Amino acid sequence: MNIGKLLGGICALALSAGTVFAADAPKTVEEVANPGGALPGNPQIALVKVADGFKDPINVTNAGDGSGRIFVVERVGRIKIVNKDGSVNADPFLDLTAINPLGNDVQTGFVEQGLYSVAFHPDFKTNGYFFVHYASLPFNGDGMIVRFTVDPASPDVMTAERTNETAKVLMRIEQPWYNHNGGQIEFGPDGMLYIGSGDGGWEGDPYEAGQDLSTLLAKMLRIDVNVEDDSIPYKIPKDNPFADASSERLMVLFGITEEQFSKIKTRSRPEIWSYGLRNPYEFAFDQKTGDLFIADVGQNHWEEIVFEKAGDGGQNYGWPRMEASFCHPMTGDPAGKPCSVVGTLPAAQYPHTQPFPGAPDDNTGGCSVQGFGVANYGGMEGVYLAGDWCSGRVFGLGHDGTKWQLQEMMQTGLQFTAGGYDEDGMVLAVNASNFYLADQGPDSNPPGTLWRVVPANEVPQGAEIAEAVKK
Amino acid sequence: MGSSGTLCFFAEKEIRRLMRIFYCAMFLICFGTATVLGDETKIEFFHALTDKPLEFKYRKDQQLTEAVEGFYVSGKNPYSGDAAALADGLKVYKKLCQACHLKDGKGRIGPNLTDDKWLRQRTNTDIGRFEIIYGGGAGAMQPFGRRIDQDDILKVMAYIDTFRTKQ
Ligand code: HEC
Repeated sequence: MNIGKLLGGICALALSAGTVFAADAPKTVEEVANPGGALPGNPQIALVKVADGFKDPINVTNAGDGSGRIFVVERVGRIKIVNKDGSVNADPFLDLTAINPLGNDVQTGFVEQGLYSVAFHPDFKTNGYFFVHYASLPFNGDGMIVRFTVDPASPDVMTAERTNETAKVLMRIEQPWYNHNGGQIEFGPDGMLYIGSGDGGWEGDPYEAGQDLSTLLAKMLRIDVNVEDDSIPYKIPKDNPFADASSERLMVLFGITEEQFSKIKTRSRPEIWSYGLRNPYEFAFDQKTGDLFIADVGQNHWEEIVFEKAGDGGQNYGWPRMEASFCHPMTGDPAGKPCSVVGTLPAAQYPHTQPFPGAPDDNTGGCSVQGFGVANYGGMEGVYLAGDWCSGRVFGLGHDGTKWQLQEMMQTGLQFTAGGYDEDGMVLAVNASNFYLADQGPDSNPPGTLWRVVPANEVPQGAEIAEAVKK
Repeated sequence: MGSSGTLCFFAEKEIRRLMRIFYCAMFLICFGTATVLGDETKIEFFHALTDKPLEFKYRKDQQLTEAVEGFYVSGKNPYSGDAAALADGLKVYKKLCQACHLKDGKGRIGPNLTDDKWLRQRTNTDIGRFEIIYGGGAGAMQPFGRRIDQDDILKVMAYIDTFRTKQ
């Protein structure tokens, strides 16, 4: 054995002994994880109740200012503060139902519409900036991305006056139909604001928005909110994949490679980070690695979770050519039907009751994936936790060093809507009791609850935990 | 006699832990006992998801009708096949159930209600269906006891029975 080989061997050993591995999106359909997988160490979790009584809670986050406050987003247009001791402030932090003399500024007519999410600026503690994404009633459901500024003298309550005075509209995303509006906005570890934008709705992506770079729909968007001149809504980060693709230029025909030609996209929107998404209503960054997980809500048959390595934009996640790892539309049993993959495959997928038209019932999945966040505790390393809106299941998606694993962590009676983090990096989840019938509305549906994901053997004494199916 | 349902339930739990193989047989035995409980004794209901005793905590001020009181003892839905009740049941179904189980009961978000395949242990019976509709099951099958009176639950149960008899 020569010394080079020996050294190589030692290096390989050292690498495999550490937990360092290069997780990446699957290259083949076979590598896409399905339910039934096993996470390294088989971690066990419990959902501990933090607070309840929320009206259709559909998102949650923290301000990152050391206050320990948790912000629960209520669909109707309010944000409630949960203090470190679990108490909930009676007065909302933000109340968009009260800023417009003609009524609520938020469109909630369809269950997928409302105030979707809030994101606090990385320097919130000093500049007081926070951002919301909501369906606007005056703009017929268009998605508004708006910045507000907290009054340091009133850190827990934005008055209607303060809200109106400080409002800066960054973006309006036109919504042709009332469903698939995306929702989540979140600052990445790079300080940029990421926006999950749905395909605009109806079904089957009638606009073909997923593959159309000239629309903001069906995309992950990435913008820089730090502008010197506040009359500018935002800047395009220089390293966005299509930052310059549509800029005007002189035409050069000869001496240019096909690869260079392919970078010219005269209609592309520079805000686009990645595309081919159907309804990225929830996504989360791994706070340790910066990697991005997107819970992309599926159509009739499959839900999918996308993994994107930190900084790896420009991906095409396939919609509407693909539904998870299958070709869309699904017309029957996909087995044995040749189908070439378009774009980047998801890391995991799980089926609806009917995995394809005419399929026998499958009861391992759900109907609508709602991501929570990435757990780096309790034996979990980089495990993305996601709940299902229909089946009440909580799935954990992690990489075992060889491939992706999707493990069912528990099945609950909860209709999950979203998740987030507290200031300690613990994963949070919220559940609501709303569904596709406008019988009661966002202010009068049975209340929802805020939960914290804790290792099963670390449930605090006396804590209330979510009931789950016995295994 | 009154507590035999509970006793049996715990026995079942014990067995389940020790020998999973006997689980089905024991379930049948326990279940048989629960349905033939003494005439005046109330049936013990369990939560469809957790198998814990079902708490009747919703809509406390509702009028418990004769039909409901009768059901507590017999475990049989008195509205079964009753034309007036079916009409009311259809109204409830359209308003609260159809969105997930679809008009014909074949299901999309919620499971198919027209076949004899059941997801939960007891939902093949009136008792089990009452339990899951009142107290909720997994995920989107929320506790409808919060939204409607128990009398209406019996009526909608009678209505969904027609999905299977129509087959
Ligand atoms: C928001 C969606 C939704 C609505 C609305 C809904 N269900 Fe369900 N239903 C479900 C889901 C999901 C399940 C499976 C629950 C489980 O796995 O425990 C279910 C299960 C059931 C079951 C048990 C089926 C089995 O195989 O065990 C019955 C019976 C049922 N529902 C009846 C009803 C009735 C009656 C209504 C209206 C009062 C209703 N459901 C409304 C989603 C829904």
